[in-house]
Amino acid sequence: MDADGLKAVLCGLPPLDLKGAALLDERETGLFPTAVPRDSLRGAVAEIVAYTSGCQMAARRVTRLAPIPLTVGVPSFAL
Amino acid sequence: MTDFDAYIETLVHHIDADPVLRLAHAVAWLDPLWKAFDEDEWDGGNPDDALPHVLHTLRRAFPQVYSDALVALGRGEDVDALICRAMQARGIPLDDIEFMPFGIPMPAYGVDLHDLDTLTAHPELRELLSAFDVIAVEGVMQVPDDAHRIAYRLAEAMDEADDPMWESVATALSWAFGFSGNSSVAHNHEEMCSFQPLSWDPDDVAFAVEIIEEAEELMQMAQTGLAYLHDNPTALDALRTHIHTLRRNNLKEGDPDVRQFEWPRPDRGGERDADREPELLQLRPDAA
Repeated sequence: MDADGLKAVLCGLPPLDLKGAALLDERETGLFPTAVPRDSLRGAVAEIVAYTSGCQMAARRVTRLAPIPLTVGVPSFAL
Repeated sequence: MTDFDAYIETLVHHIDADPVLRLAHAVAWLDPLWKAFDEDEWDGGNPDDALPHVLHTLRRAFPQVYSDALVALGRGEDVDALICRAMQARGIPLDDIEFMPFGIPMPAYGVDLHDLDTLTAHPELRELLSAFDVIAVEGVMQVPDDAHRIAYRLAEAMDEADDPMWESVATALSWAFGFSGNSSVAHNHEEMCSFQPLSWDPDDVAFAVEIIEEAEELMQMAQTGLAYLHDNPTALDALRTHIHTLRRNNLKEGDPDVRQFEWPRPDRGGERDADREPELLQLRPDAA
């Protein structure tokens, strides 16, 4: 698998059901909802901060993946 | 609806139709500081630049306060006061957000026995310290060489007395002579400033809150112990006697067994006159 393949896999994952995205549906006009209860907002912020941090950590790990050659004709290479 | 409103509605409709853009929409609203903060770019000398650093710290350590701060910023409210109140509610003595980037501020209750101002700042310590002959002489604090050692030995003995009041007095000794084992109780502000502060990482925050809560408890006990000595001359006399015994014996043959010391229990007869029941006070014949 190459980088484009990995990207396709990641982009093909189903969207996560985040509280913040659900709260966006409560928007009546404008870009953002305005009358969200404070506790709901706090919960949504905490969740999306944790999600963003998790994504950033995963992204850092992906960038550091060492390439693994699968088509080398030397059986002892893996040793 | 104006053309501009219609344009916004169309834009949001298209954004929400795409999962990635919908996520970006939520992030832009709820977590605008999602991008990693480069502390090297922060100018620590300019207090006005503290807010971005503070918001990133809150985002990492206190997401709920971060949420409240974002709402306050959007409404044009006093976000500095909000953040300080939120930290104080968690036991962290933050008076100004400009201190936040330097680490977790800690209370500093420690006293310097060689500082003449100590008796002014803490008059409640006068009786206890004078029992150890820690007194001001011609504007200079005199601290006998054996005062700390004796205080430590007596505190050990008081802890074994199985009496809450004497345990409180032991705590007062540990505060005054700096052997409480709690950084905030043992060190004064100047000493605390010389230490590397704890960071705002969750583990450090939990550790700091633990230290602060313990310090508050110890200080409350110490004040109880000092009040007990003040209100009970018998107890203060006993303390003076034991200090004298330790001081005298040590000069000859080392410390005696402090476990043999007796610690008087609260006794109404030993209370100061002001605290006695009114009917026990001897009235002057012409008082009426």
